[in-house]
Amino acid sequence: MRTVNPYWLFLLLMCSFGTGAMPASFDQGSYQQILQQKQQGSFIMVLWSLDCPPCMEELPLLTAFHKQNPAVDIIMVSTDEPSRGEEIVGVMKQNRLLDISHWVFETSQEQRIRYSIDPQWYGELPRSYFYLAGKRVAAISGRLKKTDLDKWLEASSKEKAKS
Amino acid sequence: MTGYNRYYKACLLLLLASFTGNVLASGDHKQHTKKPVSSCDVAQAASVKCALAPSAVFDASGRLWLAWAYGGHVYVNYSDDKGKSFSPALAVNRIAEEISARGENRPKIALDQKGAIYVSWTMPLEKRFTGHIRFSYSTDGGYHFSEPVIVNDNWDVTGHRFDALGVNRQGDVYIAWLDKRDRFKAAKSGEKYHGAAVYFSWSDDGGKSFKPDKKIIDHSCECCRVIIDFDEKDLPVILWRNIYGKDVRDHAIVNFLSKDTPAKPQRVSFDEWHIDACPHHGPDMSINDNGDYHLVWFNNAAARHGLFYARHDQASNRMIEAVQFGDFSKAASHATVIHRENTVWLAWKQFDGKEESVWLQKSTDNGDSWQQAEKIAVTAGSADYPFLIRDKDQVYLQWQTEVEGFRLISVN
Repeated sequence: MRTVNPYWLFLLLMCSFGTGAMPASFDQGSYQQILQQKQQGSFIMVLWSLDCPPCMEELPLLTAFHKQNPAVDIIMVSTDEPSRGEEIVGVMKQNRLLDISHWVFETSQEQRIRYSIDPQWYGELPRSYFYLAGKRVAAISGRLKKTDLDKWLEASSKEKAKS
Repeated sequence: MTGYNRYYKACLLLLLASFTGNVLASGDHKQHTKKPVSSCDVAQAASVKCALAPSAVFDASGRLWLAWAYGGHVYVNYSDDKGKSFSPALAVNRIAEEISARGENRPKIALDQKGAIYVSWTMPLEKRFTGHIRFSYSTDGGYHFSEPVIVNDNWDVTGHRFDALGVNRQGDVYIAWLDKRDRFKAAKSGEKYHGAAVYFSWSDDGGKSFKPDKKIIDHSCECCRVIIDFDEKDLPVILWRNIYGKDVRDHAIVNFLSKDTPAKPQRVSFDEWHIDACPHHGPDMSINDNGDYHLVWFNNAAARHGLFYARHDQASNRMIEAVQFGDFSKAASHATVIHRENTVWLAWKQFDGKEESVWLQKSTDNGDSWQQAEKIAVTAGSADYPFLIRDKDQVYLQWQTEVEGFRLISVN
């Protein structure tokens, strides 16, 4: 019988404790895939980049929001090159956002991906989309304010109460 | 490799070994695959087809010169048959380094009237949003390039990025860029500083030395390209996206009173785009022999959005009201402008959900009226920004696409 090297077991254990996986590849079909998976769900999708100072400045707000509302479904999508996956994971980790769903653009399809999400989005970052019961209710360009998140949270709570 | 990276890669390997065929990323994610922006594999030899974000310019003899980045090097090569074939590429920086080459950032190339070749680029540093402006030149027709230097005389580990390069008829070399030294200084004393600043430096000895950096303005936008052209007096004019008030991102221009003295910057767009974000969408400019500035930009304010053209009229010293162009519903973006006497061409990218295209619109009365826009190029894959360049009287579209590689299309 083959024996398992304790080093690998240790590593596997460590890996399972939130080092965070590489961001998933977000291609031109991913947005529809997400919508289908979420079905009638409420969620927030934040598009950001390592090369976008306001995006970095926004992250602490998302961290605080996520800490206070861990059940809220947040999707982070980086528009950086896939080769910067480790850097993205590092930023997510630093901002204690590793446990949420994170993706990275397949940048060779950048224009197509943007179009698949929203033909009216011209690539400015950060860009955030808010969904209630599967429907997009807001699209915000620029750094989010706490009031944006609170407003959506209140509407989301009401939506949940209805169902 | 850092310890973290080693550990992380070991984790990935282990996970791969343990869950062959399974997904790597969180939730329902697919496995991430590394793929360069160009269609080339990183192991391939450098060629124009693989070029990331190239710049191109014609010299006086009609030779087309290119500068582009690949594998940590800026390469220069040329074409004597309008882009059909190219000379072997020569690495400007012998030692590989990080080079910003995507979208708003790319190596720049300019030539003086004696044929000297000048190249600039941004070298990002390890810390995010930091970088230095690099520069090199060749006086022997591109056979040898000088050892690259850092142009910015402030070497704080902060942002000196988004370089713009221009050479005037007298051979003065100007470089302008977005600079965060003042923001860096403010942060050290606990103060807030909005955006970046625009700085410039110039050389009157063919790039052998540069004058001390000078600031043009505080509080520019942080990640849109900067543009340089020269007016009828052979003095530089610089255009950039600025921050007005708390969060309005409109455009500003500065002309120069002398070679070393910028005038007071003037606001040239009034779209009132309130946004605390990175548009990643810089303007363009072409100045005619009368000193009229042809300007194009993008804004996305609720009331006024899309691509805009405006002219600053030298004779009347006023801005002619901006007109919108391109199809906003088809992602009209990244416009470029060029002139020849009273003819002005605009080109921009659009996307209709299936293919990327470049559209062209022409005016024969110095921008007072415009002919119908026409689609002049399409591609099935991804595409770089379009650029209009001139070989004497002939205007060309320069467009790098994933499928076709470097394209040069006559647009007259």
